[in-house]
Amino acid sequence: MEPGLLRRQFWLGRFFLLACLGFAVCFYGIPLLWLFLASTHNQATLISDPPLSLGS
Amino acid sequence: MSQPESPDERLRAQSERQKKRRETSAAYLFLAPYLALLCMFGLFPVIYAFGLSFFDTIEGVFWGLTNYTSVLSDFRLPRSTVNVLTFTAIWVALTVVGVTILSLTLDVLPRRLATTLRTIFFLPGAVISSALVVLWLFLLDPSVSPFRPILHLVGWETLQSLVVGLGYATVFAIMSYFATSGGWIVVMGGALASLPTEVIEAARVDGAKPYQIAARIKLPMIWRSIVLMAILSLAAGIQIFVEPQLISLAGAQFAQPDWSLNQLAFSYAFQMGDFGASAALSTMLVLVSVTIALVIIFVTKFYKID
Repeated sequence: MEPGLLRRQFWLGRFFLLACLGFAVCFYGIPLLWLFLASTHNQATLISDPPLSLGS
Repeated sequence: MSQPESPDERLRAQSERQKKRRETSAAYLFLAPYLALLCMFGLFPVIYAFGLSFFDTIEGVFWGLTNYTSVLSDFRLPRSTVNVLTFTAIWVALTVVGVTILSLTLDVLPRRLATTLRTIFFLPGAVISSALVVLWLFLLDPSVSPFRPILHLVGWETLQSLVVGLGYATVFAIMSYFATSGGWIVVMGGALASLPTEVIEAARVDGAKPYQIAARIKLPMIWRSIVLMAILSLAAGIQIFVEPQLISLAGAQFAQPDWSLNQLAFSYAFQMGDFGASAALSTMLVLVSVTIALVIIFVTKFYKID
């Protein structure tokens, strides 16, 4: 097998692995973090000043 | 003609039989609490509901199949059935694909990192499902969600537009996946950990890459756990109740009182007071779930010993 093809396969595999893990960490982690931060808010501030936002 | 047994052999056979009987008794003793609970909260309610489904519980008279015919002619039944089937298809597919990919991915990470991530993924399962529905109502509302830049990018400015865009079945499937997948990832982690290391080592020595080991060695060896996950998810999916029942918390415009079949059974029993019709619908749901599970078990030869 060509070294270039091998390298591309390696990076593709690594990218897939990181993409899966990154998505999973965001999907499970952000809601849990939001839940934790929301516990420091009351109902009014939860709407006016949301606990967490990705970007502006 | 067989030789008569010597006293020694007879004694040995007798002690073997006694040992086997003791082991069997111990197994039944361990099983007893589960069997008692299964009878009390599993078998008895099913048998009771089956009996109740033949009675007019308002007048207290035997009605034969009238409850079944009245439920089957209810105009809400086809729509609820389609809703439940759509939800179940999306949720089971999400669970089988998502959990399998994540479990195989975690299996190639260093042990400590994998354990930490598995614990994070499991945490939502420790929160009661009704609380998770409320959490997701906030997370999916573009006005307060942490994902609001992404949601705005897609064009969803309000929860109403998101629900219309994704559909109720998908929204409920995301909520259910978040609640249950972590537990299955832990179960799959156990299944992957029990695989013989010499097989994986041999594949690695032969030059197999991690994705080849995952797809061609690990996956075929854990298929029984995946089928089990699919069967149990299917049974749970057909019984969806909490998510459509609680979505009205986001506003009256989201109320879906007859979205699922279990909600329909609930409304028969507790809004119309017709426990017979509710029991008939519940009995049909049990029959459908058991039939689908049996078909999957026989088609996949689930209990066949390799």
